[in-house]
Amino acid sequence: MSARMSPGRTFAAHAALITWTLVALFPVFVIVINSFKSRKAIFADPLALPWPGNFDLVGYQTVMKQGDFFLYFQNSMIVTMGSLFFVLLFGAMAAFALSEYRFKGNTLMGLYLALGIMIPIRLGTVAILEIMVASGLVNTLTALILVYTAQGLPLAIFILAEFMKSVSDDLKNAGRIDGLSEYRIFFSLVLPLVRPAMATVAVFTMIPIWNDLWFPLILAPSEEVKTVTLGAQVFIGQFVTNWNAVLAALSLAIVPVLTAFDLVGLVNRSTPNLDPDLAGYTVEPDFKAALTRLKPDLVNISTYSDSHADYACAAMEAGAHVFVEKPLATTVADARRVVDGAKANGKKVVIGYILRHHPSWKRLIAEARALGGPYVFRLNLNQQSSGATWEVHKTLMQTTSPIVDCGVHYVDVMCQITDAKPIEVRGMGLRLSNEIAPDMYNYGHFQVLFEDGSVGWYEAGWGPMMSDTAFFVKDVVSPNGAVSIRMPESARSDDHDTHTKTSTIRVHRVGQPDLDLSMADEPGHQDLCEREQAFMARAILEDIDLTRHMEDAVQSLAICLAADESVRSGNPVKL
Amino acid sequence: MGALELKGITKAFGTTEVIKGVDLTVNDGEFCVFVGPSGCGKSTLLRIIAGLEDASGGDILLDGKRVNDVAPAKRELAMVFQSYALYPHLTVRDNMGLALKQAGKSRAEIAAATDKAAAMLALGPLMDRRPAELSGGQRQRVAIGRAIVRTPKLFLFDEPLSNLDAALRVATRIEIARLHRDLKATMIYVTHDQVEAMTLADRIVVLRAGKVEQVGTPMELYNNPANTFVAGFIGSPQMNFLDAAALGFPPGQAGIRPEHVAISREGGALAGEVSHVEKLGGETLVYVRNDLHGLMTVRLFGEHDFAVDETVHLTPDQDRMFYFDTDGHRRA
Ligand SMILES: Nc1ncnc2c1ncn2[C@@H]1O[C@H](COP(=O)(O)OP(=O)(O)O)[C@@H](O)[C@H]1O
Ligand SMILES: [Mg+2]
Repeated sequence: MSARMSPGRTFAAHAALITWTLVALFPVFVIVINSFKSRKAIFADPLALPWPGNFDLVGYQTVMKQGDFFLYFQNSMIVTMGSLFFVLLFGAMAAFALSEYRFKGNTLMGLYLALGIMIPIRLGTVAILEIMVASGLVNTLTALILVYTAQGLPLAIFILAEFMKSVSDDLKNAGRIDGLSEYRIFFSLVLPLVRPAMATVAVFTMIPIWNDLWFPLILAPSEEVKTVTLGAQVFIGQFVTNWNAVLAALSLAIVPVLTAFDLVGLVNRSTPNLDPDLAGYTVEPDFKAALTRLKPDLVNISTYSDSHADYACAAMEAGAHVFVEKPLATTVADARRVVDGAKANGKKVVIGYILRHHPSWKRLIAEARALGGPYVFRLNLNQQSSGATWEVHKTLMQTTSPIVDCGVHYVDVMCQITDAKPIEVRGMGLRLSNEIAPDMYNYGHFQVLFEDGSVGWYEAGWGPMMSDTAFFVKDVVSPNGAVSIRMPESARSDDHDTHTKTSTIRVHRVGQPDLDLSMADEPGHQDLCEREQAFMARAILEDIDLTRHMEDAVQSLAICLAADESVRSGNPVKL
Repeated sequence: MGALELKGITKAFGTTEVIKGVDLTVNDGEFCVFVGPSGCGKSTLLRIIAGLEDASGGDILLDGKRVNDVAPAKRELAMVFQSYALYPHLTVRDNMGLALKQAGKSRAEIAAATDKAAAMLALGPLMDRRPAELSGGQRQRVAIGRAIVRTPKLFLFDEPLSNLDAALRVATRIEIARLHRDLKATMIYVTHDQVEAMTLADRIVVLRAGKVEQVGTPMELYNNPANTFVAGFIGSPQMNFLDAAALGFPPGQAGIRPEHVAISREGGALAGEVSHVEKLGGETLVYVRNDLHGLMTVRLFGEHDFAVDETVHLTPDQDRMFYFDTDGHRRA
């Protein structure tokens, strides 16, 4: 073929290339034009260009507000760049070793690595997940970087080894005679000469990593370590509600953890009506005897608050880890006793702050933190209870007032939003029923003052007299706007799911339209309990340090107890 | 100081033996040339001396000290490669100074040494260029300069001229000879070109298939080849080999150099037809076909006219004949 092509052929070649370019760019073009249009306009005519009639930036506004896209982007960046760095570094080094040094098994090693090109790393997902769980790397960017480095190495080594073979031996030998170390020869003589190959490998390596959804979903699905591709899935769920696939994959990640527990026995002073699932178990009345006989690994204490501390300590002394319902105890001294017992016995104590495992509450906390303090916290939960629920409430009130029993959750939320220390608590309450002890009150509210100026209000009332109006206020106000959880009007105040179901989060920013984040498909109470259980399992299996977890529980209890003291004394309590 | 001794050096790549037992002594200050056809193991032997390749067996001694386990940089030698092997990212100055920098010499010492070498090789104006901005001849001079700067005990050259054109090759050859006289260093020079070997060497080592065939001064090899291989390799054009039995000698070959054969139209020992004539101006080469001995070359001084297919008579100078047995060894 002649070096110069005839004009006809030149034209044909360019036409073919341009056509292909247009075809390849078309989807990108459609994405870009539609991103500037309203939802209705997109579906009305997907190919229409944006013009004043259909122009809408709502897509970008949603992305900017919902989900921390800069964080996702940063995560993707860190993962991609980190993996790329290690793939190029280790890939080039291995390629250099394979091409430069003669050693036993050199060819075999090359073949073994080449095999890695043909076997997709996803086949090993389950094993990788197990390794990551065992090493406590789940939900870290490190896990992703490690996997992607492994994924990228075979091809990188294969390509780079070929290129390195072509680097002149004389040059390397000249370096050796001049006294350069093998590292200097590698870094300053060989690497610069294979730069074009490195660039090729970089592109080959980078694209699949950046686009990957599989490993982020399985190894790092939590909010702080989400990558852009995974973060974008939030929006898919919002409109298409195709959560099945995503949740199925997510469940995979939890499965090995959930199977960690096996129920060995039940203890109760009376004989409750058991759920059919528990039919095979007998209920023992004596806790100490059960501990001695069953030697459980974990004891779940869901008794009334005044017995928490004693049972928890007894369980830990018998060698068991403890899951205890909130509040941890009825006095700060008892709570401390449990924490000290956990440290002394080297046992894990998880306190049942279920809201900590709730995506909507996590989201509320994240959105509120994003607004910036100081904050006003307006939180309440009144329960119009009657019948069996009222009986439970009355038994609870033999030891604990409503603001202490439920307040610990919400004080915990306040403390997670503002990192400032609480400094003062003021409380007041009223006894609205003769069915409770003369010194108990079934309605109360308190205010907490924080070091940064934040103020918190919490209200709780139980009983048949309570009203259904504004019984569920979950509202955080800051100088820049507010974040609230909104309930459907039909919600009932004594339904268990009401505590944990949240429906919609509304983000209001000053001067901007409100943004409603639908939490429709969110987990129910059972699902949350499973997450809590999974956390317990991880704490034990991965030896997670729970010091902060326990200290938070003691602190929120201390605040609520201070509120109770303030109710009774009529004076503010300094913390 | 730079005497080299090789004792029973062998080298095998996998199962193929490439160097098959080489014993050799190179004296201090000597210019020693390894010559042999391509693939005979010259470069491998040189790399073993440099320490770039481990010998499979045998000892390497530099100034009487065994250096088998000494790193290349610590052997106090310098090597010049056929492909120049200049560091592409460094200027000429830095290329030349790198070894001294690695050895921890001061900036002033490095500058003095590079400037001196640059002056010897007329590299002054090129010092701040990068290798990519130099011609082939300039690059080779820089490579030689890089070797000189180190003031090594031993210089190793691996076919340094074979990438240069003919004119540059002669000029650089002369330059290398001059350097050897000035520096009085030991030099080992590898080439497959017998002209380079003859013109440069104090002593030539002829290698074939990993073995030393003969060692000697250029004139010793020319006048006293030990076997047909050396006889054929040294001298250009190649020696004529005749059937000894047909000339009335014991079976084997009889060798006579083209310059030692007389040619005449009238009469002589061997008759034949002229098959080709090459006129080089200063000399004339006549190729003559003989029925018994095949093609023979005659080298004549000055201009001569012979027609192709013309019948001529050749007479070898009996005193200059070499006799070889059927294994190719020179008869005593
Ligand atoms: N690294 C190597 N691996 C295998 N064989 C080699 C290697 N280097 C050289 N050889 C072989 O050794 C023989 C001698 O090579 P070499 O020393 O380069 O010859 P030359 O005399 O042309 O410089 C050749 O047959 C070559 O193929
Ligand atoms: Mg060679």
